Amino acid sequence: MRRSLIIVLAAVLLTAGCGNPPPGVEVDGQRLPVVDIHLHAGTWDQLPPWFQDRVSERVPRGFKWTVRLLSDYNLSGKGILAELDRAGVSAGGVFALYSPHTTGLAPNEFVSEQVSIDPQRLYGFASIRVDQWNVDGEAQLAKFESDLANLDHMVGVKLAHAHQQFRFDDERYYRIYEVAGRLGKPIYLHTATSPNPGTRFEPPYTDPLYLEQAIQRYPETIFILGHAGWDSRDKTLKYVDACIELALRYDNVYMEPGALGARRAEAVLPDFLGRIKRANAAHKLIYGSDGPQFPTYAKSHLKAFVAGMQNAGFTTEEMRMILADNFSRVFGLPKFEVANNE
Amino acid sequence: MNRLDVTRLFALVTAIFVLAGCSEPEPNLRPMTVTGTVSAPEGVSGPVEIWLYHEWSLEGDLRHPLQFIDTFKGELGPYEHSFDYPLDIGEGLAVYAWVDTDGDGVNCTPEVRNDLAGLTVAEDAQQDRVEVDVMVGEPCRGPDFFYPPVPAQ
Repeated sequence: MRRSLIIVLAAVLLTAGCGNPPPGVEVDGQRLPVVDIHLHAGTWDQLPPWFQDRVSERVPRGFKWTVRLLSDYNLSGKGILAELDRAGVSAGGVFALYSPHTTGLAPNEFVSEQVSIDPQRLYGFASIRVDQWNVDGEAQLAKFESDLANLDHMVGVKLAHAHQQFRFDDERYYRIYEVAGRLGKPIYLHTATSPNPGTRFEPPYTDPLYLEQAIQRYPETIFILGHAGWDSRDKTLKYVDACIELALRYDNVYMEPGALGARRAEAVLPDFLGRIKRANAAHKLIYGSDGPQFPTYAKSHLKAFVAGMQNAGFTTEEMRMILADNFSRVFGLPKFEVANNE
Repeated sequence: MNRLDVTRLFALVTAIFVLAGCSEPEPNLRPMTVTGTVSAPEGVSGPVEIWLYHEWSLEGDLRHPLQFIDTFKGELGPYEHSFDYPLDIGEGLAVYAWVDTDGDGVNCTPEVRNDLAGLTVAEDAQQDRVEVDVMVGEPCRGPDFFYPPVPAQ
């Protein structure tokens, strides 16, 4: 209750505006640029009632009328930019979403519109609706390809098998991977499960090893294993080793540590970063937070993650790769730079 | 109105809402029992997992098939299960079942592809007791493979 109240009050105070930090994070006397690949857009009306309930849980009774307003703002392009500014993050990936069973909809057109407010800092990830694949799969695939090719500022693809209720190993959906590869748009895929109601938790929807056949079949397609196998429902590193194994075995596989800097993952973050470090997999990790969630989330996630990397003994160059350069390399973008105050 | 006035007004309004409180609506549930038989091709055996779904859920852009309600374990042959059917978020009832032929608890692994699944939609989910038979026969399939069905040519 007290934490919820603090979040609401923080949200109110933050919308009034405060001083933001300079871009980047300070590591060993250098400022490193940060890109957060994993941010969500959306509107309250496009959330199913069970997810609205979950979002509202954070807000104390009596303040629930504010949730719609805060959500619509936080999940808009303007709100996301404000969140990046508060965290000192240079740029972010903004995900479209077609998950009516779980977390709702953020259509490609909506995301493109939100990203358009600052395309130098916001990068769109298109998605595809799959819940009636037998009936409209061909039409959805055609729309997906058109959106990827024609909507402004779409650099990649977002899929969430566990939320969208389709198996990693279901070949009927492999054409999605083919389209993404052909158009040169890396795919971010959610791995493991989440505590959101309705999310699948069985291995065919969550264990990245079920994706290996597709990874092999589409070597031109880049697969970014979202959450890097962190199971935020059970609070375990359930598929982290499988993700590392795939990332090291295949040139077209990367990982993203979304939500591992959250308070919920506090106990496992050192173990996670230790495994990445020992596997020499820093060149395969692309930083993301799974924000905005609530105001200041991106900032606190980044702070915890950077502190964790320092404690795990990552070099400054490894941190630079994880925080920004891997993103630039995979998406074919110029390296991000921030001013260093000598 | 200056900034201080706005802040005070906001504080007053929020205080009123806090004091007034808001009651949480109770979910609208109906007790239901589903019975039937899960059958498989001859020679197939193993424990069975049964999943219950709304046939369709929500309206407008959010409308979608197969919203999860409940799951339970059983055996091939007759089954019976009682549960609370949520009335406000969907309609109809679909019963999905899969048989774990190798007993490993997972509907196929990347290497072993022998577990079989099937799905049947209840003809009438308005009753308190509904009978649904399911034939499992498709290896390594989730419920989305079966429903909505491929349109007839």
